Amino acid sequence: MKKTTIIFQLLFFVMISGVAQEKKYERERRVKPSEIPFQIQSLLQPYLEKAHHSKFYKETDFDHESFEVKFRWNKVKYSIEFSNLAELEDIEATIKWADLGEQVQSGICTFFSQFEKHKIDKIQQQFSSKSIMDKEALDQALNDFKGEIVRYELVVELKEQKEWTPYELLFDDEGILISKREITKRTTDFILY
Amino acid sequence: MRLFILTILTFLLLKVCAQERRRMVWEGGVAVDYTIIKNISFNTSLAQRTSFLEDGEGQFTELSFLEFNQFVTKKVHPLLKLSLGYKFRTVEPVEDFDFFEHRITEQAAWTHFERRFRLVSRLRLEQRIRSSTFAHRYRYRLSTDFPLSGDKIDAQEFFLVLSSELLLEIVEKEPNTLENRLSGSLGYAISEKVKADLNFTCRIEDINLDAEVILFITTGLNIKLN
Repeated sequence: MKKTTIIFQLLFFVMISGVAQEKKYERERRVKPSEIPFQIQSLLQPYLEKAHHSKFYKETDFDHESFEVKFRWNKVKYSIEFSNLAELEDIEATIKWADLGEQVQSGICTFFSQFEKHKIDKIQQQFSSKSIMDKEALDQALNDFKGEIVRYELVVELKEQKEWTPYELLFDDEGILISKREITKRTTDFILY
Repeated sequence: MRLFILTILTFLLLKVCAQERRRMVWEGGVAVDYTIIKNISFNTSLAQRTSFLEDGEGQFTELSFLEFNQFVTKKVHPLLKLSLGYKFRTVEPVEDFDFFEHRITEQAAWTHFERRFRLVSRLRLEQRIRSSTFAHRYRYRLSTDFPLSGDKIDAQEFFLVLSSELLLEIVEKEPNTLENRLSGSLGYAISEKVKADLNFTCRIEDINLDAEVILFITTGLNIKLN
């Protein structure tokens, strides 16, 4: 019986692995600095020399590839995303509630007032610039904390009708909601049971 | 980090192998997690335990038990989850005085923080009813899990779960026993909804009496239905 159990389990593992191999998933894996395109390396070089905890990631989403560089600059956590052609796509800085301007805070609070309770997990300030060079956009975001377009992304849990739901919210620089998307949080099976 | 974890696991394995009376246990199980109502999830699992024993007379293997678990969990706050569980175990041939076991569990799990690393405290109260004994068990576990690549656990990626649990067992007319369970799991997300894990647990039993170290190897498959 024991042999049967072991064989059954092994077969089950192999079957499920086989099924999983057929489908491609979004993957983010850490890579060495040398594995990211040269253009990104040279663009970031002046900042990385003074930055702390630099990490490089390659993201594969089906047939699309992109790169992400994370580091700490002036005690702020930055995440900079590039396309597979090494074009600057997005700059994000993780900030605290107190770092938000009064107008933005007020707008977000007005939105939260529709719900019974809320809990903020993470706030990111997004900088994007379309009409200026990548280097200039980086300088503005990292040194002056500015960008042509500034948005705020919040990962929150909102309580409505006595139930909590996790959302990703996007606000503009006046605190007006642009988008609201329900998200799935990391599974807790291994931690709970 | 990987080298450090491997060193710890090797150390635990060697420590167990160094015991005069060795006991190694393998548990295999399949768990299914599903949500029926928002914020209320169910977890059903089936598992078996096989013991590999070695004494002066030689080595032998026994099927210790088969078990069925059913948990219902309610998210009452983004950081707090309350659960109620029931476990049924069949005959334990190793301990011939026990013929069945029912276990009722009340549990609270609190997430301290959740980024790449997640730190969770779990407090469990258990009432274990065996044919010959009734025990109260109080368990506290601190655990962390994190992906081995990137900031989140994506499909076809590995992750680690590390934990330490203290367990106090109180049985009438018997001395109370204290146990520590140190555990390390290497998990693999086969897909977004299926995860497999290989777990090594070092149980230091009867710390307050005559301590015995037992190594548990657990293989598990977790399937999330929705």
